[in-house]
Amino acid sequence: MESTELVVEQSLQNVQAIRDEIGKVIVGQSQVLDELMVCVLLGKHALLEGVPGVGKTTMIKTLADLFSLDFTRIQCTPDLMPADIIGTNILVSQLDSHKEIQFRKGPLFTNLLLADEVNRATPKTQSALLEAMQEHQVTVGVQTYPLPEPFLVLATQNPIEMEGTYPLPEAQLDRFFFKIRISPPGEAELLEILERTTVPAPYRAAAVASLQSVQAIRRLIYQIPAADEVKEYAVRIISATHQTGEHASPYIRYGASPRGAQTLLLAGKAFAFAEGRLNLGFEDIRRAALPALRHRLILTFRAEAEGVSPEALITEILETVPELK
Amino acid sequence: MTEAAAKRRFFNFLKSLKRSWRLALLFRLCCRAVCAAVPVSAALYGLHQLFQVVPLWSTAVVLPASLAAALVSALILNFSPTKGLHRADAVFQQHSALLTAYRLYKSPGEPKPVEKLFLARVAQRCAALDARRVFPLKTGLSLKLAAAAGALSILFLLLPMAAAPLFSSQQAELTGELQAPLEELEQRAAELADTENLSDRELAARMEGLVRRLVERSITKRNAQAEVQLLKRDIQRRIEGLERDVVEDALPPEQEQLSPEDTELALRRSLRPEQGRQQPVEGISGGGNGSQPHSQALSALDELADELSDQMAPRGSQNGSKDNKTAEDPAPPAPAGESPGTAGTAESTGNAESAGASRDGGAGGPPQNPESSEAGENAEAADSGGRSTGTTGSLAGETAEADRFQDSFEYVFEERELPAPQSLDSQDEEQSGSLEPDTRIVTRSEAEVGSVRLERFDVSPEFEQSVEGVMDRYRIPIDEREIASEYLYSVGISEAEQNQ
Repeated sequence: MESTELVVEQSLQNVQAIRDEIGKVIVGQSQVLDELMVCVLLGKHALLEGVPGVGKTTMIKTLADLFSLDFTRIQCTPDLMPADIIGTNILVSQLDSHKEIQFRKGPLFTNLLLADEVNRATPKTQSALLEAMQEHQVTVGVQTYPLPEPFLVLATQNPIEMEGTYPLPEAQLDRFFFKIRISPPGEAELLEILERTTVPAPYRAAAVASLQSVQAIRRLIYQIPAADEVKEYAVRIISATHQTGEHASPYIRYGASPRGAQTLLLAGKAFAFAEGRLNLGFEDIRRAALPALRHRLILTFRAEAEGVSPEALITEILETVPELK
Repeated sequence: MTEAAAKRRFFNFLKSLKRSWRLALLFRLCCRAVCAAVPVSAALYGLHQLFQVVPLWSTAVVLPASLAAALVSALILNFSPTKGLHRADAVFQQHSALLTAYRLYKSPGEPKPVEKLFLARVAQRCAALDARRVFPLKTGLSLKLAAAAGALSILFLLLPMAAAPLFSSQQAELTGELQAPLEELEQRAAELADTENLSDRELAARMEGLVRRLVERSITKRNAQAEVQLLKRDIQRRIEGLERDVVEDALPPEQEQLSPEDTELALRRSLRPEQGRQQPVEGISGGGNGSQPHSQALSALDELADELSDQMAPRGSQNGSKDNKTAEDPAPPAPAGESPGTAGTAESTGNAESAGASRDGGAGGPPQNPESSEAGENAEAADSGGRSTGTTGSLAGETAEADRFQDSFEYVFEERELPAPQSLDSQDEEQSGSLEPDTRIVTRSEAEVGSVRLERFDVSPEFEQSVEGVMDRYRIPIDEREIASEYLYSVGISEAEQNQ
């Protein structure tokens, strides 16, 4: 138990170091950063949504710096083809004038992929991304190539300028562990941003956590115990999003999938560990509910017409579902 | 800390949590029981003071009953470790740590390293947790509740005092003015209840019920007055029934043979119905020659009816004499058979036609009750029989008994030419289904016309001869001898002489 205690203590120190270091680059947005950190610690994909200029790309680049991860960025446009991100076979001339076909890896072959404005890519390209996100591998022709571990896709999309975009299909949305909303900074935060970024050499985050330490943290998170009552609470929340649930809402056409329940529990554990606790609580489930479920609810036309957001529905569910049955 | 020590420490905390829960529950339930029972007791006491609709003992029962219920509830309710630990987690901001530890201890299998570490941390925290904070006694809330209950109780206790003037007038009327007649009536009811007669006991029960409801104020004054009138009517009927029984029972088995002078005197008196037994009802109701308890009961009912009438009258009309009847006072019930005709003097013509003449006067006014209506009908029947040409005049203060007595004669005159008189037994059988006493009297007279008369009155042949002798001496016409003999048989020659 002593060795476990040491590992736990070391992991907690690493988490705190990550927080401190990222706070030197990113001003405010603590909740967004925690959610992003959870995704990185668990090796899950995230979809970031925010207006241009709020620091989405900066956040992702900082995370790559913190964990010493390979980082690649692709700017999704309508003419972006799958081969552009996966890679392609090319004919290569050898020194002995012998020619052979070789696979040239695309930007997907990295630890941390930033797919900027992913909703501007065509569905074909988005589908190519789908297999990589789910299977951590790509297939070209008959050949399958594994992706490096960890492999994270941090995609961004703009909630405005929807013309000429291809909204992500539900199946692909479900692959994202979190959908993180980035709100514009407040006045004080904006002032701090100006102070930090309008200098000749802005601060760049140092690598404070190794890949091994991230994997150790991930193992610990998976071992965190959860009471049956807490698990049942997560299940009741997921059931409440369904039409057949006790708290069924007329605004929800399709509720969260079982993957949503897994996300609730796993994200809750990660949040608990990030706070230094070794057990999952009801509060952690509630905290994970918004980023884990907001992109997993398919709303009815009535909800769209009345301007009801998924966040409002989730908040209502959290208020109505009791912790203990 | 070893695993066993950690487990022991955790379950010790759970035990203290259970103790504090039960103590807090007991305290809370008892506080609420007291805070609820005291105002309820006060309210019951107020209701008792104001309306007497609640027994006084109920005020003393509420509090012990509530406390007993609270104690039983506290004992039978079970502690739920899940809910208790969940609450403790919330109080101590343990983020479900205690609940998770409980589940880990309860689940089978060896805990994983991270779980062991977690349980050890929880056990360390348990040492610093005070279970009494999870389930506090909440004395502040109890004090507030007690203050509210006390204020409510004072309000309930003061309310009857404030409302007393609103009800004091009725209270004074009941205790001061109605009490005397009620006590009198109750006494009379007790006297009647002592008798073995079922009718009397029934009357007594009704009177006692009326008294009780008036005391409890569970009856309106108007209804009470109506019931008094009903009781009076029934008592009067009862008196009449007793009178008839007395008359019948008083007949001696063997009449003395009267002298011719005595018989003549009796016969003459018999033909003057305004005298002698003309005032049976009034005499009875006034405590005269009727049944004494019944008459007194009637008097008590009269007094009660007067008091009720006075209290039902508007305030302005009560300023004067209490005997003044107001417009709202119900008309006093006419005595049975009384006919409010024009006052006059009934002069006897010396023959039986005076009966019809008396009826003319008696039937002059409208009937005031069913019995007087019936008497009027009888009078009309007599008139239609061709005997209405007697001396005109009216008979003031004629009583029902007198009416019936005369009716019997008139009916005899009308029906005397019937071919075959009926036997008394068959007549009684026919009348057994009827409850009208007057009809029975008339038909009895009709029966007595026949040959069974001797059997009915059980007279000796010598008495019969003396009756015939009296009638011969006074030259009673043949067609009137039957009624004359009837009278002599019924009252006896000596009484007839006295009446004369």
